[in-house]
Amino acid sequence: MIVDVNAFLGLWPFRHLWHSGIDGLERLMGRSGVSHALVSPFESLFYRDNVAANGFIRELGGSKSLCPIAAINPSLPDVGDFLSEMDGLRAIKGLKLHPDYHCYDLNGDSAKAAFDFAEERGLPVIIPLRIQDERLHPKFALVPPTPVKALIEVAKLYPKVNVIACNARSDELGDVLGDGSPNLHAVVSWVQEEGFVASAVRDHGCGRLMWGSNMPLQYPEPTLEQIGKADVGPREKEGILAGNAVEVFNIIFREPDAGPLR
Amino acid sequence: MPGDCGYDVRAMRITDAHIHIPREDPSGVGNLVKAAERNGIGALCFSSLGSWEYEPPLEACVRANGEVKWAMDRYPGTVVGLCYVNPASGEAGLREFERCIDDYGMRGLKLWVAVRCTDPSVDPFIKAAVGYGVPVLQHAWLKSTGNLPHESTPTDVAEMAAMHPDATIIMAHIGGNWEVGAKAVKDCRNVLVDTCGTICDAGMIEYAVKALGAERVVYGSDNYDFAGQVAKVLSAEIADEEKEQILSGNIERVMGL
Repeated sequence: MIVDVNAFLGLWPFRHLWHSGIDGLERLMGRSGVSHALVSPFESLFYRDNVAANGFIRELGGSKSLCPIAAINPSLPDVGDFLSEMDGLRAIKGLKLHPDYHCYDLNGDSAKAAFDFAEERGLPVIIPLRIQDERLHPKFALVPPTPVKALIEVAKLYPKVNVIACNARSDELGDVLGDGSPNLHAVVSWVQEEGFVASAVRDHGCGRLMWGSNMPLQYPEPTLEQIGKADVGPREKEGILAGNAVEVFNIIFREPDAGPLR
Repeated sequence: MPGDCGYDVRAMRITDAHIHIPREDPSGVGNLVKAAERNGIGALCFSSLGSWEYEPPLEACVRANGEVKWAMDRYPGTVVGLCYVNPASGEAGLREFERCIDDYGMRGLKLWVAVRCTDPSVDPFIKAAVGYGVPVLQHAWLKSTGNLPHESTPTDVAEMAAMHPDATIIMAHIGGNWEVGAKAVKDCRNVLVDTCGTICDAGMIEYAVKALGAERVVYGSDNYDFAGQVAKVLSAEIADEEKEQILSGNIERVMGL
């Protein structure tokens, strides 16, 4: 079993995607052996309406392999209504925040609404520090990455909320793992320097490491191979590739013919 | 299965066209060689950027090339050396390049960000590389966040290639911004691109192969995880024969390995 904690649905406005939508994700998952993916919509980066941006959630109702993550912009005035509506959606496995695209401070008032909600409902919060290499943004839409320091600070403010850092570079992953807060998790979702996974596990253990593909902007295989061929034991690999995510996101897997994920 | 990209890399000898002596730890080459072996990589084309100073003096380049020579002697048959110079060092830099080829047995020239590749100071080095029949590995990036003052762009590489049609130029990172990079050098038949860098964008290899042909794409790691960087090529939706060309055949042809 392999669980991807950082995948996206929708179209990316800045370049053609070879695989997209539910079919595209499932195709990439099938060829790389990924059994489950936690997905959020690209639309949430750009829309000014949380409800419309997360309309995909209902489309996933019957999926056995895709788990919805609600990606919210807590600085929008509709956030309260949206969070109330989400209360009725038991399938939601967590929240995703994009303070880089939505231009707010993770430790400010806007983010507080999201973290309070997550804390009350026991939902993890995924925060991609960036969506793509910042050097590749179109010049008219430069988006500086979310500072890893802010992410670490907010995790300390909400010790009961599991905070998951995605799309981090090696030094940022090192900061997250080095902090040691048990609710702070790091996702291998970028190809890091040679030997990074083994040294991270050696220095910090594997209990706070997960895997996320950043599909469909990236293919899953390079980072999967990075973990698969790392000089760490099979139990550690299993934890990074599935076990840790299953525990943090409280994913209950059902047999293929037993209906959608819960 | 992770760790098995569905392709038997043991059937070929992968060559890494772009890797550096580890900064502040030249002896780390040994760990890289071991890790490369685990990933089916039989040859590594090393250059050293020394302390990664953007405009290094000649002495720094001489020291850096000495590190590469040490690695070549320590791992013969595995480490292939590339000479690194700052073209602004002029005649003395040219003598260093000649020394690296003639005395050290290096097989190419590495140019980074000391001067733009269209600067006239670069010309004698390219002419010398042509004379030796060795390729030039030219760094290139087009960064929307802004390039370094003398950092070459893919368009610069295309201009250099046009000025030196007999030179064989490997443009690093597909120019970084790979859609622009591949298109910029599309008509320069003497330019290949390497696949390395942090970026593993879906469709990147396919795009380069479509624009340039598989025979003009070479695999490199730039010290990033070998398994991940090789998987970048293996996971591309191209023919197996094209993967072999990228991972092995093209760089062997260009380097005469």
